[in-house]
Amino acid sequence: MAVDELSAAAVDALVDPNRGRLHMRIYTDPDVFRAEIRRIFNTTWLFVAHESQVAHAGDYLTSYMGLVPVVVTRDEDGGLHVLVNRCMHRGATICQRESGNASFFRCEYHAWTYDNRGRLIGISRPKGYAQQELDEFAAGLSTAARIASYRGLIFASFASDGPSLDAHLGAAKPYIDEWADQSPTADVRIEGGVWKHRYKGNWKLQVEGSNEGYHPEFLHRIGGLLRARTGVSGLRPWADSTANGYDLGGGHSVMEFPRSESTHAPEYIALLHERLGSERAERALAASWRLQLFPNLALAPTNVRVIRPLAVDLTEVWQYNVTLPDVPQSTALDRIRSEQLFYGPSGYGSPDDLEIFERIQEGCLAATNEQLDPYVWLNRGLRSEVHRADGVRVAHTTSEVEQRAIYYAWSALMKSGAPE
Amino acid sequence: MIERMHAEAFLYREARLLDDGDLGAWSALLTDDAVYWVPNNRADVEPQTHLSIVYNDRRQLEGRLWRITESGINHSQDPASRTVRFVSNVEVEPAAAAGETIVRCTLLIHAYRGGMQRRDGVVEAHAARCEYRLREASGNLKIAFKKVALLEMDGCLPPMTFLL
Repeated sequence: MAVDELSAAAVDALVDPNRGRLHMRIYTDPDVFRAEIRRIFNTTWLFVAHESQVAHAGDYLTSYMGLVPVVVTRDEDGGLHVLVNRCMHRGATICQRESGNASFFRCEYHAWTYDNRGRLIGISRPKGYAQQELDEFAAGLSTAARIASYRGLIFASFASDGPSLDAHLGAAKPYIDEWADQSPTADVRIEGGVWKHRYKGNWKLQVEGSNEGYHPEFLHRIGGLLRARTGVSGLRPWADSTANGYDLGGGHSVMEFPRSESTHAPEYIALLHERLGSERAERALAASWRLQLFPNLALAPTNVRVIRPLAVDLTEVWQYNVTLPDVPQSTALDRIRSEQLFYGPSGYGSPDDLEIFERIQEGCLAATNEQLDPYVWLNRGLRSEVHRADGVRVAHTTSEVEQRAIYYAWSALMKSGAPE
Repeated sequence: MIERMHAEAFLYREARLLDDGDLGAWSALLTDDAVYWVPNNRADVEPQTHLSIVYNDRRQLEGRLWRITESGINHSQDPASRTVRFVSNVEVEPAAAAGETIVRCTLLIHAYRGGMQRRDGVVEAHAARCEYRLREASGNLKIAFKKVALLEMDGCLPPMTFLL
């Protein structure tokens, strides 16, 4: 395995967020990918699960942190754990399912058993081991160094030091609050289905695409045409709206949708006002945006998107449905319908996004010829964006302010992990 | 209730129309209240509370057909998939309503996008268990309900913007 040798100067040559300029190698070069796994995914906060997915004692969910398979568990005392899914003896995974409920996990190779806090609680034929030999395994399963939740979203990090989750989320927190406040009685839940996609393209293409406000009017123009034709709702024109994009810092960004008349059921509006008071309720009701949390999570009112890098040119995206407890049936139905109208393998939007990611990956093979212009650009609206006093950058939603946000954080993390 | 051979002939013809891309003729096989359902993740869920890959009434289907055949805006199908489908294991049983028959079958669709510059195109194979409710009306047999439960419905699915 090649050593990760990408220097700080090399990172600067690849990405210049102040010009909105990216070298295509960031999408195609396995050495860059290896450095990203080490310096970004193996250090920063990653989304691993939502509390509703591990709601009860013994619940578990398997996930990934970078390339590392993990198991998110809830123990009998309600505590959350993020365990690396590999036996400390010879390395086999100890949990095979997407999710379930278990008080222990057994590696079937030699029947070693761990509890759902990661402690080694059973070794087969132990008399064959001297105590000193067994001491090698005293720590139990490897775990994430830190784990923390915000409004039901569980994050973990393999770095024992670094910014707290609170600091990491920063200016993105009010949006997460709006997202979690959508339910009239309790927190939102992840249930009702998941879309799973795998595309032949770099993981950052989905991060850029999660809240890209410039493309819907063009790539997804079928939406408006279908709306006119069938009366089924679709996208409205964006360029003429006053909707904004925000670089929230930390690589996070949000894209506002053009405001349209509220389509919420009066009963739902009343319930939400009752629970949250008018101000918070109105904010949650008006929430019409896509929030990208760097590096692996995106939130929308009806979905949670988790991005998993597999290789420099291979990415998996799982997009979970979000339900609201105790909403009127019509509200629940509207949400399901709008989610499946656009998303999924046969939606009118998702297939085209995935197609574009693969076209970009193909086009960026031009990076293999050094005689050719190696750059792609995210500089739209760069000179007119507003820098607010709180550090947030604001520009029209059809500018590329959301995408530039990614690369300030990317560049900083890649340089902080660079060899001297 | 119709005979199995009658159902088979109907399904073979439907498969041929879809493979030929003759979606106008296919659309004429549907009743006005037809529902076309491709469940997501699991076959036994309620489409009112769980995401479906497709859950379309006739009006929504017309939009889908228009996109495929006329709009010229179907990027994930540029170039379009050619398909070859195999229908097998056909069984019939009475439906609750008079004049209707439940028909079950297995389906194997092979799909291929030819003529792409990206030359890594592969033949996609999708196996499915299907359930139909066919209705006889004024001498014609029509589809009142079609459900296509894909084998890999809980896995990573590629874009599937052609009809199953």
